[in-house]
Amino acid sequence: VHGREVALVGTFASTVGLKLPGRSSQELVQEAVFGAIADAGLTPADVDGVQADWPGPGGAVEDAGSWARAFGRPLNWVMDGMLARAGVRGLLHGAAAIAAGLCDTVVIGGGQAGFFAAAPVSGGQAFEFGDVWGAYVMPHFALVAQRHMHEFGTTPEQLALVAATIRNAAGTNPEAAMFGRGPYTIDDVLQSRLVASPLHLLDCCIRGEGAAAMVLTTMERARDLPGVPVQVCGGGMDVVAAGYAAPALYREVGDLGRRSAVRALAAADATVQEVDVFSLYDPTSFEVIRQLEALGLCAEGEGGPLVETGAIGVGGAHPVNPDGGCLGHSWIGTQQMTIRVVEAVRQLRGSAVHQIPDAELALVANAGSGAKHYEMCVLRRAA
Amino acid sequence: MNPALDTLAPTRPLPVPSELTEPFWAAAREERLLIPFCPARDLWFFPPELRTPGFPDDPWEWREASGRGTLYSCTEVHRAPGPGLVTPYLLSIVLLEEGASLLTHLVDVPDGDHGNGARLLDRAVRVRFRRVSPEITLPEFVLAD
Repeated sequence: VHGREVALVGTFASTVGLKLPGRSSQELVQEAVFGAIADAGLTPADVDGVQADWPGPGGAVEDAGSWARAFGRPLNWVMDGMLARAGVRGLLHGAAAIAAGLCDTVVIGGGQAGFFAAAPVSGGQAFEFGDVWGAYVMPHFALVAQRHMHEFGTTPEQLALVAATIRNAAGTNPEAAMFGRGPYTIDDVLQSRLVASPLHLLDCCIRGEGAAAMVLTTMERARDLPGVPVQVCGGGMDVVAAGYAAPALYREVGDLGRRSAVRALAAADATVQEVDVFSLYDPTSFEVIRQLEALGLCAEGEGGPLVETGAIGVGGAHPVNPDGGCLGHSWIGTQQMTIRVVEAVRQLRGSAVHQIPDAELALVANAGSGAKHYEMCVLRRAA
Repeated sequence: MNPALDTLAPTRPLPVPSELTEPFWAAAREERLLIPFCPARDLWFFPPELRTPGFPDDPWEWREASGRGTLYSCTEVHRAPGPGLVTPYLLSIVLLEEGASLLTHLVDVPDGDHGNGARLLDRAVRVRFRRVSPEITLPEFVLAD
C-alpha cells in the first residue's frame, strides 16, 4: 500500500457456533468492536474511522453515525455497505483511507446472532432468471466445480480430501463451531448426502452465528502499541460480474483472484510460494482447489493433484485455513470474511490454535457469488 | 385449476417481469426464445441489461434464438431452496449456439448412469417450453443428440 504504511494492530473474534442462544447481533457486534480496540491497546477515543455493522437496537440501523455516539467522538471516516464493513474488502477500504491520510485508525467488523435458519443460503435478493430454477448459493458453486471436473478430471475424492482436511482442523480446534466433530475420511465426505452434485453435505460450509472485528492504523502508530504489528503489505480485488444475476461460468470465473494476486504479491515484494499460511474462502471444498490454481500455486487443472500431496494441511507446503475455515470453524454471514483475517493475524502473531511454526507471511482472501468477486491481502509480521 | 398448468406453480418462485424483461416472457408465452442481440458487435447476451455489456454505446435488440445449444454445466440438486421444486432437478447452464448462456433445467433425461449430471456436459440440447402460469412460460431444455 502506497502512502503511509498500514498495520493491523488488533483483532477479536467472539464465540462462534451454529446457534448462539440468548445472544443478539448488536451485543455480539459491540463485543467484537470494543474487543478488537482493546486488543490493539487502544480505547474508542483513539479510533477515528469505523466500518462496522450496527444491527440495532439503539442508534439507527447500519448507520455509521451510531458508532460516533457509541465512541463518544466525531468520526473522520466511515463506510456503509455490507461488504465494506467486513473482511478484506473492508480492510482494503480502511487501509487505503489511512494510507491516503484521510483518517488514522479504523475498526472494521460486525456479526450476527439470533436468526438461525435451517434453510439454504440464498443469493440475498430476488433474481428473475435464477430463483425459478431453484438456484441458490451452493448450486451456483456446484456448476463451476462440475465444469472444472469435466475439463481437468478433478475427482470427487480430491474435493472430499479438501473437506476432510479443513473440517478435521476444525474438529480439533476448541474455538470452532464444529469442534469435536469427526475426524472425517474421504469416504465419510463422499457418503454424506448430495446437496448439489458434485457437492456433498460435508463439501459445503456450515452456517452459524458470531462476530469479529479488526483494527488498522499507521505503522508509525503501531510501533508504539503493545502487540506485534502485522503489516498490510499488499492487496487487490478482482470483480468480474454481479452476484447471482446470471450463473458463474467456469470459463469466466476459473481464474478469479489471479489478477488480484499479481497485484498484491508484487506490492508485498513476495511470491505466492513464500506465503506461510493461507486464509481462503472455502464455501465449498472445490473452491479451495480452484484458488490454489488461480493464486499460482499450481497450473490450471493441477489443484486436485496438489491437494493429494497433503499441501493444504497444517503440516503441508501451503497450509489453508488451519482454524477450520468456513467448512468447520464458522460461516457467520458476511463477517466470516473478518474471521479469516483474524486467523491470519493470529498465525503471524504466533497465537493460533493450530499454529504454523514461525509464520511470517500470510495471504487472506474472501470471495463470493459463485465466485465472482475476490478480495485479497498479503500480511507480514513486522520485524 | 387449469390442467395445462404445472401443478407446482402455486409455490414455485415465479419471475416478476420488468419493463426490461417483459418481451422475453411475452415471447416465451408463444414458445419463442428471444435473446438480446447487439448487431454492431454481433453479440448475443443474457440476461438482458439496459445497455450492451461492454459496449454501452452500441444498442441491442431482441432477436429470436434457435433454441439449440450445448450443456456447459449441470448440477443435480438434491436440496431445494424452498417449496415448489421437486428434487432432484438438473440445474444447468446452456450455451446457446448464438453465444449467450442461460440458466435452466435439463428435463426428461433418459434413465441411465449420468453421474449425477456430470456425464451430460457438452451434450447437445434444445429448448422446450413449459407453461407454469398464465404469465410465465419457462424455457427448459432437453437432450437433442
